[in-house]
Amino acid sequence: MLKRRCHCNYIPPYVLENMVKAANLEEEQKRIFLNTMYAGDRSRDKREIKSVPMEIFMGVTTAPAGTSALEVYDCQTQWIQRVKLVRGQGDPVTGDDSVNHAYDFAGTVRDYYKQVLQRNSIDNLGLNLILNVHYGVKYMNAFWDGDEMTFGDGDGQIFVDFSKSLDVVGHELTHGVTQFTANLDYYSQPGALNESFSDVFGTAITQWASKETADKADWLIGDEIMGPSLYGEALRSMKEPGTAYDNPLMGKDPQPGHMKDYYTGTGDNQGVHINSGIPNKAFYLASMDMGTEVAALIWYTALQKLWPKANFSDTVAVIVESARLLVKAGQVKAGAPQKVRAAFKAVGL
Amino acid sequence: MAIVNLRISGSILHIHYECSGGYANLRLTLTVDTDDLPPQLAKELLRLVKASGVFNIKPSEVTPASHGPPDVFLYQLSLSDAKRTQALALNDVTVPVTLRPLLTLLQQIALEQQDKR
Repeated sequence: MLKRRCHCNYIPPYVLENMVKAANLEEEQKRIFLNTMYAGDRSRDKREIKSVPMEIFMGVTTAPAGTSALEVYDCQTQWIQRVKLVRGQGDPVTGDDSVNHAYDFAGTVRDYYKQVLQRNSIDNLGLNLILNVHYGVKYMNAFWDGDEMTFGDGDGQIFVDFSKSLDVVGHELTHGVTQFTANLDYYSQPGALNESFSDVFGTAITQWASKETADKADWLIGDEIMGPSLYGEALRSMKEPGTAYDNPLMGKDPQPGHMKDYYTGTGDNQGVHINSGIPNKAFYLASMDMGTEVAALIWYTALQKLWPKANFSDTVAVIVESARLLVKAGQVKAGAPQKVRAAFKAVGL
Repeated sequence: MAIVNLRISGSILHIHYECSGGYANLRLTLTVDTDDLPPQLAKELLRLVKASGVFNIKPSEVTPASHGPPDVFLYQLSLSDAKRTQALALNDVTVPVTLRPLLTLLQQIALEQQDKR
């Protein structure tokens, strides 16, 4: 997110969105357009004004690069972010496991994007990674709000500390990557794709960090943060959507693994956490066929070409095209587009 | 989505609470009358309602402008008594700090009741 004074004139969103879809638009220009268009929505949510200076918008210059520094703040169980900086980049280990987990896992995510995908932090310009731990009282959640990550401690019974899981950190920071690339709307199919890309890279990063192959991985999301009351359960299964949990507290996992079971209700922003099961399974199948690292490269390439209102069909086409281009560039083996098509066909797309 | 309907008539408070979304896509609901709660719990709930100033919150100030950000909890609160009605839609980014203790207690009660089903 660019945070500078605005000297921009208003440009209608439909103009910006059409420009984003232009095939020959440079990635940096696309990111600038998307952030110009959506900075207002995000700023209203955070109650502050964020916008883009004209000289950056017009591509005369680019935003200065950051240093990808890690900053961990202790919210001290207050419902406020950035209460006290407790560990900055390069600072030694503290006595607080939450602080150390957040620091280590965010560093792993940053390193993955840099070393594997050649991406310089969340915005590809070295955005510093701000992490808030001990947020609120028994807060059973973690989220990326457009600027920073926030982790709750859980209640100790149902959920434990959300900073304890590399899955969670990878998932949430990838929402930031999506914000600076496709910027998928958090609603209906674009929102389910937004969620899916976060599960995809949360999982890919976890497998990379533990040097695990697709066939050895458990393909579960959120199993590390389940508390004693729900030990053994998980929040989502990319391998078998709909099987992650079944208990009186959470009910039954509602995720479909095929378009025939697509959720059409209004809850959860029209099912962003529910219908993400369908593209999640496609990624699982593609990874089992090609390896997670190859599949992740294809998915990441596609993420940079997508747009805010892209739906499932759009995304399949872009992912297949991305596979084709990577074959052409010699970065993945021949046969990849066919394997991607087969993976999506298996889930009804 | 958290929906809390409070109808205050004398000492009776009717509450309906829902919370949804988040990383875990939690779905919590609670429907209860304070008469059905242990006296101490009912008293605490009423204290938090008063302390939160919920009737003074302007809905337009807390209604999210977009569907995001990703993975925040979504809340709705509807309150009414003989004279006043309040209906709020909020998320983790827009909820006032003063409302947090009430939401935390309602979440706790909802979890306990949901686990007993």
